[in-house]
Amino acid sequence: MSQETKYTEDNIRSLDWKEHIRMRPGMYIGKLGDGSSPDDGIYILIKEVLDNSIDEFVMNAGKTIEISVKETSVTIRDYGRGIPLGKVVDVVSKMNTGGKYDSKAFKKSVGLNGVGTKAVNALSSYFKVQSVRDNKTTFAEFERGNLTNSPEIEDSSLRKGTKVTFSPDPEIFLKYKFRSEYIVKMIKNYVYLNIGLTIIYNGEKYFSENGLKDLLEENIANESKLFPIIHLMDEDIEVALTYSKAQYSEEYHSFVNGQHTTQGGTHQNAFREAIVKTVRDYFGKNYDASDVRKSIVSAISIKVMEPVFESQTKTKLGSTEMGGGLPTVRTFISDFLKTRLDNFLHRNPDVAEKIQKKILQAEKERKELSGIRKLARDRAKKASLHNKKLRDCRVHLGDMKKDNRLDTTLFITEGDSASGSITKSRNVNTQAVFSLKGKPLNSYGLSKKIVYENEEFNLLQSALNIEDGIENLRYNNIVIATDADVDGMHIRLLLITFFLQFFPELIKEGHLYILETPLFRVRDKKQTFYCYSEQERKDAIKSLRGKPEITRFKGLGEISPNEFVHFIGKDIRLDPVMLDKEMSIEEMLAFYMGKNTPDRQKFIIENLKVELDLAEELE
Amino acid sequence: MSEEIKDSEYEEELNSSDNIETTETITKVTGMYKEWFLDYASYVILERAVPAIDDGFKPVQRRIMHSMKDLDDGRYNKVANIVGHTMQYHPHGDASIGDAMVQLGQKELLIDMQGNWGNTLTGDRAAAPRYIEARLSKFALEVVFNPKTTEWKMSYDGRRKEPVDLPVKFPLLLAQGAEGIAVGLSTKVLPHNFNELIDASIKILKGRSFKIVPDFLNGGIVDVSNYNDGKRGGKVRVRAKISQYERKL
Repeated sequence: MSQETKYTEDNIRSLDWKEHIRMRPGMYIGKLGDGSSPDDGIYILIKEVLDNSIDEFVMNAGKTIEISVKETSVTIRDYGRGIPLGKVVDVVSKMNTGGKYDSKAFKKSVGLNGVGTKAVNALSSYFKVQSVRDNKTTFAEFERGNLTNSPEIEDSSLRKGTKVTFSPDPEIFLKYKFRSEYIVKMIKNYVYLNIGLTIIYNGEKYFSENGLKDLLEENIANESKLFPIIHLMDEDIEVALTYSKAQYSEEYHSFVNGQHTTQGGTHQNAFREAIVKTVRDYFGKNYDASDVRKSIVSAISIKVMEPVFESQTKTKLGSTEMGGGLPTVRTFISDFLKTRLDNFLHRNPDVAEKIQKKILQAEKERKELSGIRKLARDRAKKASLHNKKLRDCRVHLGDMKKDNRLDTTLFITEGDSASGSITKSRNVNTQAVFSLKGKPLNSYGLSKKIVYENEEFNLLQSALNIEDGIENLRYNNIVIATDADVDGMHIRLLLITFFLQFFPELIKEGHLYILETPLFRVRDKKQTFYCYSEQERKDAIKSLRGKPEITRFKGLGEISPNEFVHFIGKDIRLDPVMLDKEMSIEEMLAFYMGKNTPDRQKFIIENLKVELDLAEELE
Repeated sequence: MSEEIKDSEYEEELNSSDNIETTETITKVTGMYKEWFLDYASYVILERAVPAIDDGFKPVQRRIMHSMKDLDDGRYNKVANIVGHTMQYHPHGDASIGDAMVQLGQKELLIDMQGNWGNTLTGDRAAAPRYIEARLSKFALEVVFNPKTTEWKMSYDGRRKEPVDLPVKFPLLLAQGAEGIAVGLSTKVLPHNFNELIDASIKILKGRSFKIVPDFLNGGIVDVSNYNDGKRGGKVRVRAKISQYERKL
């Protein structure tokens, strides 16, 4: 007996603008998240506000932007022209209001529709915008999109510009926390793309003189560059590239109108094609495209009139036309490289020679691999039908139409200890499980061949679908879920080593995480607490009266499926795996994963961790 | 939350440096490597592969001895039963405990064995743990245990006590020898002759000088001129004589 749902005039609702934004935040800012991943909503809020300040810079108004983030409060101050004082309230709270509709100068910006700041306003528990121009100032304050205060215009001695302060609403962004690293990364991208712009973040200055060249310098260690970065610039296009000695994969950083297109798109495809074509023509040889591009590290930024993106979050470009009387994106990029890169190679024969050597070496390696690759392909064909280590989910990262595609997660578990519980307690739409058997191989110092030879690695590669680069990655988050014991730590090291060796861009793009699981369970008859640290344990014991039962979790197998729901559900705690500059990757892997050295022996002996749980303490 | 902006200086307020720590910083990959590597290396060194110098036991061996003492009533116990009991202290698989116990038995010092415990000369393996039996040898009962001088720690599940070290009244490490490969470190101690060890021990107690060299349970001829007192790099050369009885064997 199914009951028909009534559908009458009463069901039809017109939502207020802020109601709509608060109801469907995903449409405006992608996903929500708690700040542990770089594409979480709270960073998009910053970006939306910052974009407006950047547009002021593009209009030659205000070379400095100041950002400060204190716990939950974000303040962004630019020295641009300031919002016209009479419209301060409208600009941030009336849909489809903006100053960029008819100005030609804004044709090449990303946000045209004046949605950004309104979304920030509606999603903030506190939002304040202040504008200063012509020695006068006014401001407006909001709570969750409702105007609470908007005083009269008054005189001011401040420098002209706009200041926006907001706190993301904790009702929508649950338990969020800003991570400086992600904000800094975002800021760096802005300064690379806007030469001459200074951004001051919490007192620290960010500035770039060489644009994309600086971006690549940041991303590749000096000693692993095959030759100094080639940096080519023209109106509407900027390109930087070199080859890496240490990395197998192709690395592209692509931007459209200052927007980081993490998933590439038409411009990136055209760029890849154009490099191959130019290089082939220069050498007059028909090299295989994959050999030409192997180990390339590059960046491209173009400016397109009224760009079209394939998704709401603007991470993949769909435009084919440059607009404004220019040829197609493809021809434009191809022509640019054809002349400029070709000229460069003619002027720098030593660089050309290095590239040729690299290509020949790649060709040799590829031929060596081809036999085993075919075998592995056959195996992978079977695996894609039935990958025996994988329990897949319904939605994947490539399903552009699904809202929850950014939540797709692959858990890599250790043996049988957790795969059963995760499989039972997971969200089958977005969470998949890959179970390892025992410890994976230490892949340090091995060649790429091992990814095909080792069955486990091969299945992992095909589960992630990253054989030909990470554009087709099937899951947005890859989470290593091993026990919190020492063997679990070892497996984490081995897995990260595998990714660093063969798929470093997964880590660079921030896809890899470690699952944090509780160390203790403290409970009495009424309440149960799961504690992630010694401090949380002490707090929990204090809050419970009498003598609670304390269990120390050593393996994920100790956690039952119905408990596991809490650890991989919305309160999931993830530690992102992020690269840093303290040590080069090569150096780090050689030290920890390579041959035993007297240095390492000394390091271990000096830092040996002794844990003794003496009986007297607990009696 | 609401600070009124009456007049200037919010540039300063924006850039005051005390707000930097408030956003969380993330442990980067080099930090992860350092921490986890040390966790793992320390554990393998301290809890798995290397014996303690005080009593000469690796943790698994110490736990087997402690369990056998728990169960000791003068009768033989099935090894499977002892292995099961040891698992109360040793959070690992039964096979690894069983193998460790057989190896300990084959040294013919601490365990009184019943049944087929394998043969170190031919490489034959011991019978399954459910068949063979063991109890502590008289020597072990005399030399290895003393509850009054034992320091205790909690077992891995927090329910029982186990010894930190056993108060062994004998240079057991030298008698049995040891071998272990850990992370960054490895150990190899050769076995010594029981009587020679006792003689040397008496000499030490009397404050006299002594010299002691390895000896092997299987017998044989050994050249110890480069032994270097067992320090790193020391060598022992063993000579084997092979003679052929017939052309066709």
